[in-house]
Amino acid sequence: MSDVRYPISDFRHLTSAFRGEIMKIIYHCYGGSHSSVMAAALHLGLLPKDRIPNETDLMAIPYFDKTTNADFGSIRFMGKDEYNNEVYVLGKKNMGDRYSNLLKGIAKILGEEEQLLAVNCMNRVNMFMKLGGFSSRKMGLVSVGRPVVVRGSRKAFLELVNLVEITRLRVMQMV
Amino acid sequence: MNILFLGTSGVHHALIAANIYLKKPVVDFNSIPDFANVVLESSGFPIYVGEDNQGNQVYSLGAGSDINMVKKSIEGLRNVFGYSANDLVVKPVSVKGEKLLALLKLIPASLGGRLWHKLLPALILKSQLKNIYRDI
Repeated sequence: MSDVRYPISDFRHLTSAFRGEIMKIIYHCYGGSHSSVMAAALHLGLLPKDRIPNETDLMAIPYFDKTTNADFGSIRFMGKDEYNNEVYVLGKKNMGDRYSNLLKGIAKILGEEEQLLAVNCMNRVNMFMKLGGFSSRKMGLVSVGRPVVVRGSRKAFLELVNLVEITRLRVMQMV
Repeated sequence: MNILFLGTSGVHHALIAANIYLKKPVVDFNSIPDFANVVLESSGFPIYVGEDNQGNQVYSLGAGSDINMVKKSIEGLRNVFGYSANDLVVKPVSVKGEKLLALLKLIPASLGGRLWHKLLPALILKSQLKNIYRDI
């Protein structure tokens, strides 16, 4: 954030760090349909971390492989973790880490920068998830794409567990 | 209140709109601070432009090719934090060729950056000040 210019008089963001308020954690990926909802589900304990989920487990997660084009950009609530932090998911197309900065910048304008953690899940996404997600969500070929995206999701599972563990540690450091 | 001008590029038409709103001179685009500053734009952070006479903070932001998606996210985040349009207003700014502007800023400086990032957008935007005024 160092090269961003904000009015010197705007000190609101400094105060929120001391309030011990609830964090808002937003996991985001291309479509907000697979990796981000899996990460959010892991964060919330909706998916166990100690075994690789099967298709039934994955399909039981809210929003998993169920979103439409209208959901791009929508910040969707997934639940609250054991510390009452709110967990959300978001699909941001191919905007990469830039979207984390965009969200952080908006939170800073609102004086809530310390209460937001935006987590990009795209670096944990493999080719199966991309191909399966594209077929199932973009092309509407669910019967073709879903088995591929499920295979990719199972393959990426431990990577996502790792991402969520890192995120939970970051949250603990921030509050 | 905060006012955010949102365009495909935050250092071209959205920045011009913010400057017009603040009644700053925009005759020579190149004299506008941060005009065509693609390094600043690439960070993704909103760019602070100034304060109006009512004390509102004014910003410019580049959304890439999908302005509606970004607008939806910003308004969603505003709601998540319990704020309303009284705290943050998002004003989309649209011009012809705006998607081209979003693409031009992706051209590396080593491939004639000044031409692609500054001169060509200035040429495109010169004739469209009317459209920008319409969106303010």
